Amino acid sequence: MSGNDAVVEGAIRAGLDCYFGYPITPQNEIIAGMAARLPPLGRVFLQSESELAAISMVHGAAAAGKRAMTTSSSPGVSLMQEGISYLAGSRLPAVIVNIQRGGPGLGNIAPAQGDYFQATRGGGNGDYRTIVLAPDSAQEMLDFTFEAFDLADQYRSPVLVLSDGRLGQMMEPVELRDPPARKRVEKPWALTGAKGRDAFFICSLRLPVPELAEHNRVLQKVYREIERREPRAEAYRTDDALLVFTAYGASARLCREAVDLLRDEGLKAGLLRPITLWPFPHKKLLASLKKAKTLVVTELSYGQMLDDVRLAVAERVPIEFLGYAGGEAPSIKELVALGRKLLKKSRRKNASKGKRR
Amino acid sequence: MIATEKKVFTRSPVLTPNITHYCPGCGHGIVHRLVAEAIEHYGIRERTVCVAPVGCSVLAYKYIDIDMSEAAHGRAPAVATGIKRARPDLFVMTYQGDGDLAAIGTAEIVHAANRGENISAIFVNNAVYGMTGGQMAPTTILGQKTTTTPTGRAANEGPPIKVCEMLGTMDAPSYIARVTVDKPAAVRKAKQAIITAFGRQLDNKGFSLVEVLSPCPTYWRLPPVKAVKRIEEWMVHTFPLGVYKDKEAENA
Amino acid sequence: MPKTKTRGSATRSEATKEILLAGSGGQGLILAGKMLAQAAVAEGFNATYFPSYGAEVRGGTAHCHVKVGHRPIGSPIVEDATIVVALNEPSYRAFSPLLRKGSTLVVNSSLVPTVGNHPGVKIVALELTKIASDMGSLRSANMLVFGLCAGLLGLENRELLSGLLTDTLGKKNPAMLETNQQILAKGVDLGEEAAK
Repeated sequence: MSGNDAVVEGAIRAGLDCYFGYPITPQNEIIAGMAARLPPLGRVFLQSESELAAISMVHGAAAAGKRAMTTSSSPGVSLMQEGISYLAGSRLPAVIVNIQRGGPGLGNIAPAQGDYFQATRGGGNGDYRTIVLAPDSAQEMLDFTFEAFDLADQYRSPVLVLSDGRLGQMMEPVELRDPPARKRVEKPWALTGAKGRDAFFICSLRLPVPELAEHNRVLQKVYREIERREPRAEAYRTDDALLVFTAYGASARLCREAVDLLRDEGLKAGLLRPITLWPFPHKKLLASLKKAKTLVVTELSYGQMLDDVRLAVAERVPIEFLGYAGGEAPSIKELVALGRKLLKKSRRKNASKGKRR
Repeated sequence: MIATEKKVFTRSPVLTPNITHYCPGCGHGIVHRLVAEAIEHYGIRERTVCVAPVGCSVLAYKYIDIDMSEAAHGRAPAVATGIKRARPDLFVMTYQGDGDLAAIGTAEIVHAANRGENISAIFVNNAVYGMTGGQMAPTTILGQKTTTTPTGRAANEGPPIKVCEMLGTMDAPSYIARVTVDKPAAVRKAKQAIITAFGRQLDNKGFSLVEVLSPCPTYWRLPPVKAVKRIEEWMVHTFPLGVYKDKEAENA
Repeated sequence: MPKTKTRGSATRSEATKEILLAGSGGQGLILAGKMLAQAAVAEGFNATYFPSYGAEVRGGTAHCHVKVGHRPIGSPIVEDATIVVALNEPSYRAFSPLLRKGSTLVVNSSLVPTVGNHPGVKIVALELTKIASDMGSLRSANMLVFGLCAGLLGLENRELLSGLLTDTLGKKNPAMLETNQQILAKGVDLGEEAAK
């Protein structure tokens, strides 16, 4: 099953009620899959006239208390930033999947990871964040899409699944399963018609200064709670690692394979893979560096996640950076060669240090 | 409130007691009342959700006592689509101004109409951007002075967009009409049009839109009475009143 | 569907097999590659399948990457090809640089008349289009390729392969199923022979 098909499967299992989307490569399998599968289940599928409209339709369905989502790829997700900011400001839960492609602008349809900043820094106007989940396999495309709905409801916030064309298009085995679900939350705030209660107005608009200031304080409180509870990362063979790779999504897969090959050579390499990009797993990254002499950051972009890594690590370990763009990606061989070189260098350094003493 | 010697109507309970922030002579207050009365007419307050625009009437939620959602500028028909598709049992309407509906939101209204989306749009056209301070609107009339057309709207800025005429060419919409609120008889007609439009949704007949020509004394730079007269003298020549699409009449 | 292998066990050391299938759009190699990956998964391997996806919908060169192994697969992209299948001349030119010492090159000599010098590469030149055509279906050269690759890789459970074919094409084109089955079997024969 392809990663894109796994998104469809995960969303349907999570109880997606309404899907709205606009075609864009490389995520068209998702919109076609939704079109084929949702109507027979009595759920809503609608192809919108634009990404602007799609995210606003999501806004409407979410305001009506339903589980709603849209999917797109980089340029389309840029258009959706308007709506994502409104969702965040209105505290509406929704799921947005970005199957990233090469940019800037129209770029190309090759896999890339150039939307990290947009995804993790809010993306639209105003001071908000969205939880960002980064799958690295078709299985996780299913699992994380499923979980995104629970997270969105729990925190009343839009949640992003940040993937890319490689993971979306690639096929690999997927276990069709329901990941552990969180408690389904009630939505007493939903617009249902003002029956037996005061009328509700779901909005981001708060003209009086004290009102908007207080609203922002509430949002920040939610974000702090998310930062406390939700950071997630996978530590792979890092316990005794002298060299730690850190990468997310498709890049992380490459590093994992390189780590295994380096270990075959008796070289102590490991991988720390952030699973939530916001909140960034600072503590987990630091914990993986207990023995590390070097940290290698790899992205299909030119130093976006690197900023978060630097914030977490500061000067503790020297950082090597490998960036790519436009659909290029490192080969496994390149990563292994780099790992070998760096590990030998640090060994030599240690040896010479010993001599001096 | 002006004290009246003779009570000519009861304030609709669908309106809140709040006093509006609209300028003296603005048409929004009347249109709000007509919307509230139409909701009352059908007894649907408790299953109505209205999507508010960005513009002067962004604060409509303070005056009409129904569930409301905000939308980004121009996206009200898309938000309304989302609500209606999610909950077809609700009565869903948009309330939009000319900048919102006919400039930044052209795509959304055209496609909602073309899908025959079962929602109702109230389109208040006063030929100017009010909330941002009197700039040219898509419906500003040729020669009309605004802050961004200081010598009058010129030909190379394009003639005003005629929304009813445009949407009236489509097959899907059920009811498209243009009315005004410049005199009591016109207000009664406007109310009837809104009632008809809402009825179409309640009968699952699909998309309906009522365009209301409304005065903006502030940015037409006129006293209220003159502004109201200006509608007949000047605005209806560009925007003729009438029914532009009525599927039920066509089918009858 | 069998369970995914647990990540990171990394105990088996056999290298991951990397297969690149290329031809002109419409020759059906995208489907052949997908079925090859499915067959590998059904036999208990990890496998990935990655299609070329372009702006063009029909025609042009179409190719896909298949990886099969015991370890978790990081990159779905073929770097050092175990097998390159080229059904036409442009595909041969585009993907022969992925050949290494020990690789196998499968060329369709019906459409790739001359093959250059590739030291250490096993060259399997067969008139794939003609064989399929002689067996009754010109358009089924892709099933010949599917069988051939399965044979080369040692995915030799013929029952499983033929079941996969029935699942994939049985409903779509029942009239041609038997012919396709014969072509697939012929492909496996050719693959096993070439692997010797």
